[in-house]
Amino acid sequence: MRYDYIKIVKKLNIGSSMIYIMLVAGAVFMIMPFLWMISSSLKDMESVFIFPPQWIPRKIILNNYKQLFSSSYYNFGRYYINTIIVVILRLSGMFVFCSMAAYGFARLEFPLKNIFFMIVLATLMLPIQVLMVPLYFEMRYFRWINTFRALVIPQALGCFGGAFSIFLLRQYFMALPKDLEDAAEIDGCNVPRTFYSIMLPQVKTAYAALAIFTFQGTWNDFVWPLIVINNPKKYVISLGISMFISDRAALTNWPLLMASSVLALIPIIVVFMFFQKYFMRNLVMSGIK
Amino acid sequence: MDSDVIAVPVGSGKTKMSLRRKSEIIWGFIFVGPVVLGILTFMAFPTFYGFYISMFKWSIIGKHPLFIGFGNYVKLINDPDFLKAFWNTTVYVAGIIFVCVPLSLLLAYLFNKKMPFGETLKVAYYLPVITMMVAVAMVWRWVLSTDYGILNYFLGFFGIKKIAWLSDPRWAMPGLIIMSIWKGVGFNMVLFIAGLKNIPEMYYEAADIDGASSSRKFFQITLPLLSPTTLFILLTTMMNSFQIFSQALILFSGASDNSTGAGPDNACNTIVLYLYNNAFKWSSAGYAASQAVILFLVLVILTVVQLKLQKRWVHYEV
Amino acid sequence: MKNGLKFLGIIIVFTVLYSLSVFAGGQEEAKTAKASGTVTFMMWGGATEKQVVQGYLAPFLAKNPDIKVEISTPPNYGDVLQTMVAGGTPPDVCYLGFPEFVQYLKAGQLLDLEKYADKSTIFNKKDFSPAHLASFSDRKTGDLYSIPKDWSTYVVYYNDDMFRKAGLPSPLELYNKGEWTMDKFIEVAQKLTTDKTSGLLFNQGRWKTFVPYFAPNWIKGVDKLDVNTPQFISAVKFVDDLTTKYKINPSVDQFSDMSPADRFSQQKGAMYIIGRWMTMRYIKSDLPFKWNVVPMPKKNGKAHTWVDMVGYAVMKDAKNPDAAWKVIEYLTGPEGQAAVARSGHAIPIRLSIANSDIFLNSVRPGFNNEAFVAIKDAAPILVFNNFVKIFYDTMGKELNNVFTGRKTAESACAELQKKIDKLLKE
Repeated sequence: MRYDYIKIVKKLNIGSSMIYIMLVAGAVFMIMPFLWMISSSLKDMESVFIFPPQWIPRKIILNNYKQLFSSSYYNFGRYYINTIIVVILRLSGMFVFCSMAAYGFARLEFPLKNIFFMIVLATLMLPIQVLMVPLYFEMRYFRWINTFRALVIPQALGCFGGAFSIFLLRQYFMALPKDLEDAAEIDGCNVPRTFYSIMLPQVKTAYAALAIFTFQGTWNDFVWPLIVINNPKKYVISLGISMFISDRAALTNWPLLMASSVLALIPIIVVFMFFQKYFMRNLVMSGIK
Repeated sequence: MDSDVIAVPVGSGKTKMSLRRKSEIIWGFIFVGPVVLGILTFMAFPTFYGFYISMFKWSIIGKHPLFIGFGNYVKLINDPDFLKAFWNTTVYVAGIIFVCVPLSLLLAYLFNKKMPFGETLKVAYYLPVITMMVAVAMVWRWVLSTDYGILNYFLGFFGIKKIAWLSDPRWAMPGLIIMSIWKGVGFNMVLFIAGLKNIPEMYYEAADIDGASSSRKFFQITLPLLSPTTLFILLTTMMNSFQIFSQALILFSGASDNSTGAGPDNACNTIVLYLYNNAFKWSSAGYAASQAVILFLVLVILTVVQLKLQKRWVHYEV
Repeated sequence: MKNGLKFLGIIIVFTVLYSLSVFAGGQEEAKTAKASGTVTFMMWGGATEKQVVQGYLAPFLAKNPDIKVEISTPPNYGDVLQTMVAGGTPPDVCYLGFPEFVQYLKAGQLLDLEKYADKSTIFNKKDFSPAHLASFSDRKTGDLYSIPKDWSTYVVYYNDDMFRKAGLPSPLELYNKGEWTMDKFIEVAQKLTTDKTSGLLFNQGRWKTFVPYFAPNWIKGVDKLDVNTPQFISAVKFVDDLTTKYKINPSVDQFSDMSPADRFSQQKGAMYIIGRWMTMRYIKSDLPFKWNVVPMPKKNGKAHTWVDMVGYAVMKDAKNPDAAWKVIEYLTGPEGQAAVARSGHAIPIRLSIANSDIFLNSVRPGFNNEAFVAIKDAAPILVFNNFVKIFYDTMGKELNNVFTGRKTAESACAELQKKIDKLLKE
């Protein structure tokens, strides 16, 4: 018996180590562009496109990063602040309205439910390129051009990808046992209380995933702010970064572009690592007594 | 006490149910209301506008749209560029769904176990998702390069001749698919991880007691309990991939200014890219709108079909 | 029940606050309609060019304290401009290149600038090349709808060190001796082509540069293009031959790995045919080798080149057209143009400035600025500029088949003629 046990352990180790090595190799392959970005951000214009790529720059130029914050032309401090405001407002709005909608679609019965849900899903099926111009009309009509409202309210109410959150949460809510609600009812909870105290805590892993995605989606959101914001003072980070791109590819300021992109990526990575904690534990069934 | 619960008179039972039902209906509308109203407010006008415009010949900045009824749609069916773009898009979607999604599931499954530097590795796989498309395209131009690229280098070990990924029309789309898989696998991986973590340990423990093998555990416990997430991933990935737009544009711009981004011989022209070029470069916004309508209808049909089929394989409650 | 009400109450308040903001006033730019106030100025080129333009405007703003200029350089300039114009809120001043100018003119969105031009003391029609003004005017009425702001021609940039090392006379020396012909050009390029460097760097997508050498009459007015002629076919063949027959130019595939601009700066190419704007980049990059420019070579005694032009336009719905004109007037006036010359960005549009020392001695001593203005006759090219973008894209795509070896020049041109005729009918 003992010999068998040792054999199995050895087998497992070799198998798992192989897998682990491949995962690590894969990870290295995954971060290559990020390394290229960092390396380019430290180069001068002409060295960026040496081919095959030069991973370690011959002369390292830290001035690129200094320029972004110190020069009066590049207003990155302000772009960061604008983006953070948008993120906080949009995510809190989404948290309230999209969760409610998801729960409603998942666990409540009412007429027209399926039609409404299809409407929500339909927002994911329309390419924004074709909606750009009429949306601009609309934003002008509401006088929302150059306001934060335009960047926050539609998404909080499920437009432009908010449906993604609604759909995901709905799936999670639907997977919860029906008994939870019955138990809550016996305890005397009405619908909102059930929702708030009992159902929400059950879907923490979904929220962790959503937090990561919606943060990233808002932070990197480009096309919508491009349509709605044309006052440079109200730019968000994605617009700020794109200012380094020239219509003539040869005149794009690649080092600064890469430096600003690296700076923009760091908050997303931080958020990702923070919310990963919620992936660490398996949920234990609770609530039914 | 028990008899009160069990033997409820039919009459009063019905009234009780109605009240509860009514309350549920009201709450249903309240919960779903803001979102539905929001969508109708913001998206209804542009959507109907898009449908409306598709019946006109119009340039975005032109002042006199010309009504041509279904003329745009007739033109579409006979347009080889559009048909090619449609085909390309379908191939692309198939590539993503049949390769990328299973791959993300595999990765999520592997990452479900504890391993040294697990968090860091996960971040590494997620990085491509958040990295700027420009940086990704730059590196992939190197990866896919005919003479210097590492992809051809590795293929060389298996005796495969060099493939001109970026300039051969037969290989441009596969190259684009490979790049997109690489870029998108982390996204679905995170979703699958969340889904896996949501499966209570209890079930696995019970299965272990019964002496179940790994594969049985996977197919009888993991997959079924993961199915709500899987449905979500399949649907959203499908909708997303059908709308692919900027990847090809940047990959094939070759650092030159004059490109429509459609790749060698239009090999990577996709529906939304073609639509965009029509609307903003070639002054045919009405034509572009008709393409969007077609795309929308295709997606609606596919979604409805999937939602109807879900009863067969998606398990919601235990 | 209490808790439920509380919850409901919170939700209602939240929703009401959110929806109230729908009807609350938004912020819009100040609406003034005098020859003062704020002028919204939209340009492309990103942060780099914005700085340059701010430099141009500084003296103007100092002299006109009642005018403020808000410059924006949005990415995806074309899309944003179209959206804003369609939405009725165009910028006051914007850049328009060809074929965008044609598109907006056809759509009736441009403001007629003729009356401003006539009344202006700073704007002087005689100081502009007639061909330049003609291309920005309405064909029928002759009214100006955009003021050209600068222009750029294609020249041959060359790596002087490479010529020295190979013991060859530099193109400038050949030009001064009158020996800078197409045959000589190919000859030196071949001599300078090794397995590491190419004698020439030329993006096949810019094929139109060489067409006038072979088929000078391929454009017959604004509604006819003759591309299925033996002359045009030989032009296309020539561009392809640069890579396949003379072997002096890298292929399309090789350019996708590294662009011509980068190859030149990394000394992988001896000569590079491109426009004036590259000077700005190379000056900033401080290239580690000697480089200069010469005009395009002569064939049968004549040289031809390609002309890029951009103009300032005012849209019909602009809020502040009078002040907008003042800005345009300054930038295309002698002072503004002198600033353009000094920056090395493009060739000043004012003939007096372009032919003066301010331009000719700009950039750095010994730089052959004269090469940019050497070729005077660019009229046929400007007529071609009056086709909208879909013509360019169709031609580019079809001819790309030739340059990538998928089709012969003959079959591509035949196919192309069919496509063009179809487009002309629409």
